[in-house]
Amino acid sequence: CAGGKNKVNTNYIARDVSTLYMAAKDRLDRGQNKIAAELFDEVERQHPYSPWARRAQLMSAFSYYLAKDHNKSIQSAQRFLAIHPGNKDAAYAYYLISLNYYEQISDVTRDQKITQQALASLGEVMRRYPNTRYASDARLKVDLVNDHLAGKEMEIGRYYQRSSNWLAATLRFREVVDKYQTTSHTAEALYRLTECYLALGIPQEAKRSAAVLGANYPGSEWYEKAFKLSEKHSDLITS
Amino acid sequence: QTTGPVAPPAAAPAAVPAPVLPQGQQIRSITVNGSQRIEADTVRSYIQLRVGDIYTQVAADQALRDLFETELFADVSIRNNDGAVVIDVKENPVINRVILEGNKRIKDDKILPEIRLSPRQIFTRTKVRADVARIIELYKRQGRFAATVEPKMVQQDQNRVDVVFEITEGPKSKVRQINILGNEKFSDGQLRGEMVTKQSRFYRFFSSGDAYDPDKMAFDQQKLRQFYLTQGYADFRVISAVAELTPDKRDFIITYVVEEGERYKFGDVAVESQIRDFSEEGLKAQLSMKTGDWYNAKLVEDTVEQLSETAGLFGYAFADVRPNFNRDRETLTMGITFELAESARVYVERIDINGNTLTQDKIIRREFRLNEGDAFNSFLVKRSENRINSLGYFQEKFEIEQKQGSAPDRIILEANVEEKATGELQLSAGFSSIENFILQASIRQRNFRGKGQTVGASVNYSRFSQGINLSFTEPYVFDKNISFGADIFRRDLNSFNFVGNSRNTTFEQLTTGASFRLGVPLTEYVSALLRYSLTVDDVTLDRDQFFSDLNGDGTLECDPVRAGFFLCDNLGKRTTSLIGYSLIYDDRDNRIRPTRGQNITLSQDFAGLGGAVSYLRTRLNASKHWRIGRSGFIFTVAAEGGHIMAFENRGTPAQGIDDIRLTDRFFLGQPQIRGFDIRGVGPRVIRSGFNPEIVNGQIVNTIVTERRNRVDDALGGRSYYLARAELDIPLGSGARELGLRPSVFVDAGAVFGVVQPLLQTPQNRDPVTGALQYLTVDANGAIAVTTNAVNANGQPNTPSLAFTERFFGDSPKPRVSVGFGVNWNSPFGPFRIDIARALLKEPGDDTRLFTFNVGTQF
Amino acid sequence: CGQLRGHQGFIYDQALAGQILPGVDNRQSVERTLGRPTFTGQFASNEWYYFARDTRQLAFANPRATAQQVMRVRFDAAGNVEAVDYTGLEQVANIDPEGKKTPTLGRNRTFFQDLFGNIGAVGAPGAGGGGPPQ
Repeated sequence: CAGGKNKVNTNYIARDVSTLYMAAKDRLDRGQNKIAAELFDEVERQHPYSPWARRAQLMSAFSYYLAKDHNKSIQSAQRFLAIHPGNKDAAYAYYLISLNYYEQISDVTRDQKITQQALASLGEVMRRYPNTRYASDARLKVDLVNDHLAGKEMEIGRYYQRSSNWLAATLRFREVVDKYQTTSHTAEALYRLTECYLALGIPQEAKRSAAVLGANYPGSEWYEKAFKLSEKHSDLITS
Repeated sequence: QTTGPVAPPAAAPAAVPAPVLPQGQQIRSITVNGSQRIEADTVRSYIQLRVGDIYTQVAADQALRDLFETELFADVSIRNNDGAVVIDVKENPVINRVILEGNKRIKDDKILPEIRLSPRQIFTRTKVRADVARIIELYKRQGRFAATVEPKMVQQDQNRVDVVFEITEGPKSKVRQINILGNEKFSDGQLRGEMVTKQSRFYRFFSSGDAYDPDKMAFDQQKLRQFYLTQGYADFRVISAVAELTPDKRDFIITYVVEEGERYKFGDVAVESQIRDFSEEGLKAQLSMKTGDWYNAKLVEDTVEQLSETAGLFGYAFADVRPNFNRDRETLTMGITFELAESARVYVERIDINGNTLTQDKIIRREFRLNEGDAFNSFLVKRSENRINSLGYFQEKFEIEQKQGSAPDRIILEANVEEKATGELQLSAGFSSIENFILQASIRQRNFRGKGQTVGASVNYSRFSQGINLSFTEPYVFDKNISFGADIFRRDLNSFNFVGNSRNTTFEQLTTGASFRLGVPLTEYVSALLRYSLTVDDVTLDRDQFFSDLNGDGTLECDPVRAGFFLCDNLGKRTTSLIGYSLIYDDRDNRIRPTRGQNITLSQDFAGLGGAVSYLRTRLNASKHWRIGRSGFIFTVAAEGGHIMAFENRGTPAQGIDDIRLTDRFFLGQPQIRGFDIRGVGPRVIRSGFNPEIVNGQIVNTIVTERRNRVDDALGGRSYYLARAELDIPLGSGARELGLRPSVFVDAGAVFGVVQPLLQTPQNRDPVTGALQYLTVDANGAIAVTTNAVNANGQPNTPSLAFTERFFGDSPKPRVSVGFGVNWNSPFGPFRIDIARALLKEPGDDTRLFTFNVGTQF
Repeated sequence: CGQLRGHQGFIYDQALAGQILPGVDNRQSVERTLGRPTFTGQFASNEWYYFARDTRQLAFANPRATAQQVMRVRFDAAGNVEAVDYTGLEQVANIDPEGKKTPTLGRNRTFFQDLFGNIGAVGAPGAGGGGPPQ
């Protein structure tokens, strides 16, 4: 009982390029993104050499993106880049690909393969077109994505803490401090390390972690918590 | 100068700049013409030539090569008239449509995804050639070696082209005959049995084993060699393997020439271990071969595997075990020393979980038996694998992969999971011998919200019972290893019988209730389960049909004549408050389809924590599974037993009342014991009518025996036992793809121990006067009904009886049934057919030969 | 019912561990005999820790530490072993981890999307779950 082929029968009605393009544009404005995307594809298929074709490829990628069909949008954008790498809109195409990945990032408890792909494509935009407005937005998104990856490591570390695997938790939180220093999780990671080292019975490392936390994030709530914790276990810490 | 934006991957920029020949001609301009779709500066971006360079023939050739490599152009030429370089390009056409013709055996949707050409892509000759080869390869795999593919280009307007693949499939080439020369020790038939390719015979129309395939032939040679090595023929060699076409060019004849050589025995066998805490003697005891046994390569392989597994147990993940042989041709012995190479102990650096788009990370991580920072231990990894497989959320052959860590003694464990549909929509229909139809629908999501929780709702409707059941299970409460489950259910059980062909509901039991479960693991394999359930039962009888005013006091009571004693004593509303526990030992490798290990469960339920009902029900069930050799046969033996002890006294046996209510007793039948009907085994009251006949002048009430119009009410029993032996038969690869899993089984069991209810054989009464009725022979010899007890010449008339109740089946003697069944993962879900014949049965049991059950998984 | 015995971290070999002497060994010799440390001091990389802990777990409770050995090897600037000391269970603190956590972004899935999230096409026997419908 899969949905029948209710696609508007757009394939192979040979129409001249401008009416086809206008029909697609109008569908897009009316918000029927999926059909608009298919019509743009038709423009490219029936009139590959018209100047409209190049424009249509980009518009189809954009429409698929609006219709949240990320895979098709990425494919259209990549096809555009295969033929027009030197085109002035190539930057936009790369940017659109990274947006598609960025939209699909799932929450921290799930697989982060899409997040890695988003990171790679955002990096691509920044590397190829460093001084475009796309690059500045990409730089902002890269920080958010790194923050997200650090969030996943924290989630796993906290799970290990809850099941008293203090050694495994320590290794995870060290990973966050080493690899994701610029993210918003570093403060919490340092606090968690203080907890872990105390539970592992290595108070001097706990003291060091709390000291680094205090030095870098003096005002943060995590430093307060670390301070309270080391007060509570002051007998171990002072030795 | 930079080469501008990086060209698409197809065009690799020229590695080394061409040596500059002093041609003296400086390039003043580069113009591109003939390009329609691709802009001029894109073309320029692919080549090395720049305005201002010196124009040289070599640089021009390099540019030509670059442009052709991009596969975007059909034809390119470069002209230089004193500095003005002109590049004429003719673009490859764009593909409008790809059409396949003549492909009957393999459908379009199988071929199109395999080929690289697709609409809106650029047409290139290399892609067409690659696709032609690809399609021929697809047909080869189907055994059609005579298939040919003819690509045709249809020019369209605007430089577009339609690509048409004309396919002639040709006949399926089969292997008509396999003959083997030079084998004395083993017969041709035995060797052919080892091979994957089979000779084409009429009964093999279904399997694709007899299709000719050169790769399969190479594999067969390997299988031959393996077979001889396991029999001890170390010098075995396949001298030649030739496949010739039969004269009519349709099939092949394969001929192998082999040289068996002599049979070897094991020489002296030793273990040399360079790893510190491995004693040679301890390992030598583990070896499965001794000097003097017949040589067997398989044993050597198994020992290597076993030794590396033992090394894994001690934390040496990468210990490599190398057997080196010293062959002694005179004494025909093969000496083997297993060398355990030195390797540092390895620690787990990270555990990464990928592919879980739905399941949460911790649901899989908590099944790991070792954590980051711990020493590698192959047994714990295997244990973790089994536990993740038992979740039942992921692909069939899930394995934990080991990747090299950041340091030589660090290892990364990767769990790459592919989630499968964990929601189940179960629609099952059953036919029972008394032609009634049971429909059961349930929806269950075993991995709800990716948190590992199970949520289920099931509705069943049949002529016997209608019911709804909502259930929820959380295996890890607060991330602790405690599982909690709750069920709310409402069941309306009505059983009925057929008098003549009108259905009347004899009795209706409405049960509503809730139950809670708490599961706690005690050790790795032993766990305990506590449960509490509160149910309210309301049993009613069809008033106007079974009730009558017995003692004339105007109130209607249950009339045993009409309803039968065992029904009357069950009426009324009662609450059962039951608390119970189960101790479970379970070390099966996979709970869904176990192949190894056993499961023993003891459970006791005490009803009587408040509520009207009080009894103690004890049940014990155990099952054990073996995998027989490497053959894939799985043998399962299961046994079950139970007994109920009553704590309340509801009546004496003389009154025919059992202390345990009908609804709490054990019942046995389909599906526990196959070959019998639902509740078809055990004590029952059969109420059958009479048809009076005249036998040598006397009227005799003979009992009706056909099953169709007698009434059969199962009573259940206080104790039961059931045993089952089942053998799962592995099928060839063809059937396994279809998901066919046949099995043969033997079921045996009995349910017994119930107080015999009072049986009655009431006499008919005159509906008007209420007087008893008799039968006499009237004038012309036919049977007539009369109300006087004595006939004309003074003999007593035979009473006209309504029906008689007889008690059957209350005996512990085993009922045995044997049969076979097939589990089939059909396109619309799991399908189970069972055909079983009852060999041993007691009088009164209802048998049923055929049942089927279909469910769909979503 | 017997408790589940477990071991976390480094597997000690007392004979080997005893051989590490200050002033005699350096980074390479320690690594050759004991292997790489479980972890180094995060902000003082001249300290190596070999952490080993035996745990016991009653049914569903979390594993409790029953015995522990932490060996700390301190190296001087030149990389030679300066001091070796052992600590056991005495310094272990009982920590109850903080509940609060830093928020993260990412689309979490609505209730119904979970329930019917990964319905494969009806009819495909046990087909792959496929991502949640976008």
